[in-house]
Amino acid sequence: MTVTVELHGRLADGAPSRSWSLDIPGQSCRVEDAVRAACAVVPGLGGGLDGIAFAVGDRLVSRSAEIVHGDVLSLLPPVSGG
Amino acid sequence: MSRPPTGGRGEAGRWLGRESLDAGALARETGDPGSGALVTFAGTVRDDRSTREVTAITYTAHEPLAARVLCELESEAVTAHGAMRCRVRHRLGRVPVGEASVIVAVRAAHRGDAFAACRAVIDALKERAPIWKEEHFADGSSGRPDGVPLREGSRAGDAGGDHA
Repeated sequence: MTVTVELHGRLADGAPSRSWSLDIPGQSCRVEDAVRAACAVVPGLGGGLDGIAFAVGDRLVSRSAEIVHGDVLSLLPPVSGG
Repeated sequence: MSRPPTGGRGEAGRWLGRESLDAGALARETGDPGSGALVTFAGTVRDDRSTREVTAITYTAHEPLAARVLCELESEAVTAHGAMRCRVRHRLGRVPVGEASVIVAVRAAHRGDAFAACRAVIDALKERAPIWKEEHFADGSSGRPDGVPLREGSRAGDAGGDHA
């Protein structure tokens, strides 16, 4: 399956791209598995995941949530709006 | 109250945009002949004069989720904080010192509820909106301040979100 990974805030700083397609074996996987796969692709990403939340589409999801082909998985660092 | 966005990026324009914010326009949107109080809050970019001179802040967002959160906050102002109507709008992109980055406009029957609701909305926005700032300094450098982790149990369709 293929999902899109999006980096936001400080996670995007210095990354080769803010968004990319990630190929993952199988029909579905958990968010944490996709994140692990993303870290293998983007050097240094794994070291910056403290306090990171996850979203699929416009919904927050847990690390154990299931994602499927075509989903857009967003990695959200601690926020600073307002 | 605003209708919740369905996730399309075009809909986010009701709550997010790159143009200068217009507090008067938001206040007019909340107009209600039954309200006796209007409270408008504007968060403005400042040079906090701590170490380096801030000249501007750039704001980015997960726009579909941020729109959903801001819509929820507008609704909560009414359902949970005694407001009659509420509008929230956050600016994205580069915002110079002195200009507003966020506006909250609240109408209520009485000033107590209007003040309380406005305070509740901006406080919640700072914890729940997926918006990030990058500070720009006079020496040409930039940096990101520490933020607030989005919490498990936050709204915006949270299905038990937790952190890495």
